[in-house]
Amino acid sequence: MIGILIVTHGDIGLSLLKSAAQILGKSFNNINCISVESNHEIHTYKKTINSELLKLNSGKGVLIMSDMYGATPTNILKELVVANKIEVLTGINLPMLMQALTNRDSELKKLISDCLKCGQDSLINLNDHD
Amino acid sequence: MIKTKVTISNKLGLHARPSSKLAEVCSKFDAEIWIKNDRKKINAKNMMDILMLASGYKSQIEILIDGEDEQAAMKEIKILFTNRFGEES
Repeated sequence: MIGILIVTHGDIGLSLLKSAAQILGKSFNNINCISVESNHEIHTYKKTINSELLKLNSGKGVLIMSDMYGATPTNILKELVVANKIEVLTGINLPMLMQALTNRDSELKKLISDCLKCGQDSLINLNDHD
Repeated sequence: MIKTKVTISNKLGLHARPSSKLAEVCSKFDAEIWIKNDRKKINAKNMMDILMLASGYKSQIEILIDGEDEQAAMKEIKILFTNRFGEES
């Protein structure tokens, strides 16, 4: 099973996970959220993230999702991407997370591409939609 | 390949919880299962694909199943729709 790590500002990740669990009617293993707060040192988050990646990787890899490109949670991950060749999706939304939660037996590369597509496809202007 | 048309009888349409339940049931079978509406055809084993059809109350969709266990799959899927996914009496 692919592990999932959500790194966001405050409790965004926890709230998304709570809502997804409520909709799907189950709780999930091998997933964790890291809430990035402005009053903490960035290097401590790097250590925490690295340690979580080790814990969550059961052999099929870890999908990492953050909330906003250009902001601190993503910037922390960006440095780790360069150092460790991990893969990160930014712009997490509920559809993207639910796609990840319901397809964790897939291959990591496929899951990443499916989650990205799902997250993008779910951005819809209802006024332009039949 | 077998197929059938069903009308959504849930007042809230095929929203998140029924979509999740439908994908879960479809995933139990080896057969390939698709749902088709007037715009697209999707993999019924993927909850988010089902959800993104945004099938409303009284809308009609077609279920297509291809594989050795297609009859068993169709039977179980029909029960879900008949029972309105256990949401309404």
